[in-house]
Amino acid sequence: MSGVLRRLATGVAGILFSTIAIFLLLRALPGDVATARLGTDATPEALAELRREYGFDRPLVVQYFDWLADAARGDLGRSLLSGTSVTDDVLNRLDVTLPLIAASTALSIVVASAVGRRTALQRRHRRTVATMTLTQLGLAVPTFVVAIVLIMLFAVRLNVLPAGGFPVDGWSAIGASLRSLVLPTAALAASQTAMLARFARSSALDFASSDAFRTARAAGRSRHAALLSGRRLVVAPVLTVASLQVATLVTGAVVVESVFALPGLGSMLVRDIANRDYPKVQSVLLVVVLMVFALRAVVNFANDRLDPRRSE
Amino acid sequence: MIARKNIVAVVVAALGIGAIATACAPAENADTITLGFTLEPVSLDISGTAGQAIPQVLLDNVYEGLVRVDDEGGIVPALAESYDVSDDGLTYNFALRDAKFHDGQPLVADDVVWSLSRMLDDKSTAVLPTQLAQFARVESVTADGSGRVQLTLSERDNDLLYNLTQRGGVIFKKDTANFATSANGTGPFVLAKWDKGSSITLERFDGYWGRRADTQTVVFRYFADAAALSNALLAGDIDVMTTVQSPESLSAYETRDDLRVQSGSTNCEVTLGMNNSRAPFNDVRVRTAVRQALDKDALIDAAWAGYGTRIGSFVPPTDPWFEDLTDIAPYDPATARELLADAGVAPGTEVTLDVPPINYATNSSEFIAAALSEVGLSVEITPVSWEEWLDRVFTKADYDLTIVCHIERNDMAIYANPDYYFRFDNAEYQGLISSAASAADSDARNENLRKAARLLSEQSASDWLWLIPNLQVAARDVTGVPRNSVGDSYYAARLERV
Repeated sequence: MSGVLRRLATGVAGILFSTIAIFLLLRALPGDVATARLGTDATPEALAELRREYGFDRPLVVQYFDWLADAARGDLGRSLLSGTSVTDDVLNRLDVTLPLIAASTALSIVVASAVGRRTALQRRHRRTVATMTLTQLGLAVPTFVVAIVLIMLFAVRLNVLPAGGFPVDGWSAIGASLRSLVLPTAALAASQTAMLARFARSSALDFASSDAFRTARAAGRSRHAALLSGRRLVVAPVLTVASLQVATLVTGAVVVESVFALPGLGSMLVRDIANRDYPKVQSVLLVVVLMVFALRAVVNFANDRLDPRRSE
Repeated sequence: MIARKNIVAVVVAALGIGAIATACAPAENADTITLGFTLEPVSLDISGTAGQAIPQVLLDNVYEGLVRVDDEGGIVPALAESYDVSDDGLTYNFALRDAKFHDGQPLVADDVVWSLSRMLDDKSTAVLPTQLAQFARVESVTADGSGRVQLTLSERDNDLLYNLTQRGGVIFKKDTANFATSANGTGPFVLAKWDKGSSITLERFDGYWGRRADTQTVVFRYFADAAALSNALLAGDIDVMTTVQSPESLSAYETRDDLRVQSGSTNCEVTLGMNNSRAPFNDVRVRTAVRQALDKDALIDAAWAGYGTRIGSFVPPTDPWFEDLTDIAPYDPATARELLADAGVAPGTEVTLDVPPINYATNSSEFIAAALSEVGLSVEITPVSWEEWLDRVFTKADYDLTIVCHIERNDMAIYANPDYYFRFDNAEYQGLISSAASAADSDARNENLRKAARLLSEQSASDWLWLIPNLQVAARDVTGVPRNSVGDSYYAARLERV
C-alpha cells in the first residue's frame, strides 16, 4: 500500500515539476505570439496593446496559477491564434497520434519479444547473426530515412498505399484511415523494434542461464518450452523499457507526422511552438506529460502482475 | 517453433490489414482538385493575422474586395462593377454589384463601409499594422444610399486601388464577429471544411455573381515537409505542387509523362547589393564593371537550373512600368577590366561578399566570386546568419557585396532612401520616385517609374541577377493553374480537370 502511495506522490511531484519547467521554458524563448499575429512590421504600441489583451502583462506567478487552476478544472484554454478550444484540438489530433503510437508500440513489443526469444535460443546461428545485424541497422538508421524509403517503395513505386495525409472524414472513412497509418506505423516502429529486440534477447539470455531454466530443462522440457515457461520474466523488462520510450515515441511521432503530412499532436506542437502560442503549447504539453505518467503507472501495475516478486 | 509462428502471425496480420485497407481505397474523384502547399494558415482571420498562407487560400476564392489583381498583375473590377476617380485623385466612387454572401444575405453598401472603416482606426489591434498603413491616406468611407460607396482621401495615393485588392480591402458582412474560425465571403468558393494540420476544402458557391468556379471541390493540402509534398505529387495524391523549393530537383518530374513543370513570374528580384558609400563601389565605373563581369545566363544555369528570368533593373516584367533593360551593362569581361583600370582599382583588390543562408545566395556566390576574380577583384565569401545579415548588412550597411531577394511589390522606393543598405544617394532618382507617388494618373506614374528604372540601371546601383520564377508542377490533365505569383492569392476558380 505504501508502495502505491509512494508512486502516487512521486507521480504528482513529477507532474508539478513538469508544469513549472514547461511554463518557464516557453517564456524563456525569444519572440511571442503578438509578433506572430501582427507580423514583423508591427509597431511596439500595437504589440504592447495586444499583449495586454492577452494578459501577458500580469505577474508570471499569477499567470502560472491561473493556468494550473483552469487545467485542474479541465479547462485547457484556447489558442490565441485560431481561437479554437485546446481540448477540441488535442482530441482531434489524438485521433491520429494515439493509434499511431499504440500500434507501433504494440507492433514493436510483439515482434521484439519473438525475435529476442528466438535469437537467444540459437546463439551462434547465422540467422541470429543476421537478425542482430539488422537490429543494429535499425538503431542506426534515422526514422525519417526509413519513412522516406517506405514512401518511395510503397507509395511512389508500387502505388499501393498513400504517400501521406489522413482522410478529411477521419475514422468514419475507416479503410482510408487504416491505409494512411500503415506506413507511418511501420516507420515509427522500426527503430523501436530494433532496440526492444536487443533488450528482449538479453533478458531471454538471462533467463536461459537461470536456475529456473535449468530446472525446467531437467524436468524434460524442450529449450523452447523451458524458455516459454519464463516468458513473463522475459517480457517484463521489455515492457519497462517500452514504457520509458513512450516519451521518445511522441517526439518520433513529430518526425513521422511531418514526413507523412499527418495532422497529429506532434506536428501541431511544432507549429504552435513556432508561433509562440504559449497557452496552447503549455496545455498540450501537460496532456502529453499526463499521458506518459498514466502509461508508466499502467506498465508498473502490469509488471507487478507479471513478476510478483516486485511487489513483495 | 512457437517463436517463428509468432512472427509469421504478425506478418500475416499486417498483410491482412494492408489488403483490407487496399480494398477500401477510395476512387479518385473527377470533380475534386487537390493542391499542395507548404505553409498552413494559423487562423482564418484574413485582416488580423500575419502570414501569406491566409490570403493565399481565402483572398479572391472565399473573400473578395472591390477590385482584384489578375494573373498578369492588372487591376480588374470584382465587387465593384465600376469605379471612377476624381481629377484631384482624392475621391473614389464605387458602384456595387448585385452579389450575395455565402450565408445568403445580399451585399449592401453598409457592408463595404463597415469593412473598410475597420482599416481607418489606427489604434486597432484587430487589423494588421501593414493594412492600417496602406489605408493611412483614406479619411472616410461613406455610402450614399444608392448602392454606391465613396472613399475620400487626405492626399493622392496611386497605390490605393492595388491596396484594395489585398487583404485589407476584403469586404465582410457588416458586424461579422468571428474572423478566426469561419469565413462568410462573396467569392466563387464557400469554405467547406478546415481540417487543421492537414487541409482546407473549398466548395463551389452556386450563388456567385460572376462566372462560377469550374470545379466543384478544391482542396488546399498542407505539407510541413517539402519532401512529403513532393512524394504526394509523385504518388498521385495531389494534382498540383504549388511551390518548388529547389529547382535542381525538377528533373525528377520532367521525366514523368503525367506531370508538367510550369514557370511563371514573381516579384522576387535576386539582387547583388553593392555598398554605394564604400570604396571601391562608390564609383559607378566599378559597379558597372561588376555587372559586366557576370554572365547572367550562365549564372542562372548554374544557380537556378536555368529557370530564372534575366532582368536589367529592379522591375519584374509583370509591372506596368517594366522595360527590357538587359542591354545596359551587358556581359563583357574586357570592358569590365578597362572600367576597373580607369577607376584605379588595382588587380587583386580584396572585397567581401556576405552570403545569407538561403539557396539562391549560396548557389550563386561561388560563381560570382570566380567571375569577379577573372576581371581582377579578389572576392572573399563570408557566410552570415540572417540575424547577422539584418544587423550588420541591412541595418548598419557594414558590407561590400551581398545577395538577397527583394520580394515586396512596387518596391523601387527603397533606392530613393539614401539610408537603405544600398546607400544609393541620387537626387534625380529621388525626384522621379516622389513625382511617381504624386503623379496625377497611372500613365504619368508609370512614365516616372520607367525613367527611374532606367536611371537605376545606368547608375548600376546594384546588380539584378535574375527574377525568381514561380515554379509549379501539375498533373497534365489539370488546367487553369495560375501562372504568376504577383498578388497574395492563389486563384482557384479556373482550375479544371479535362
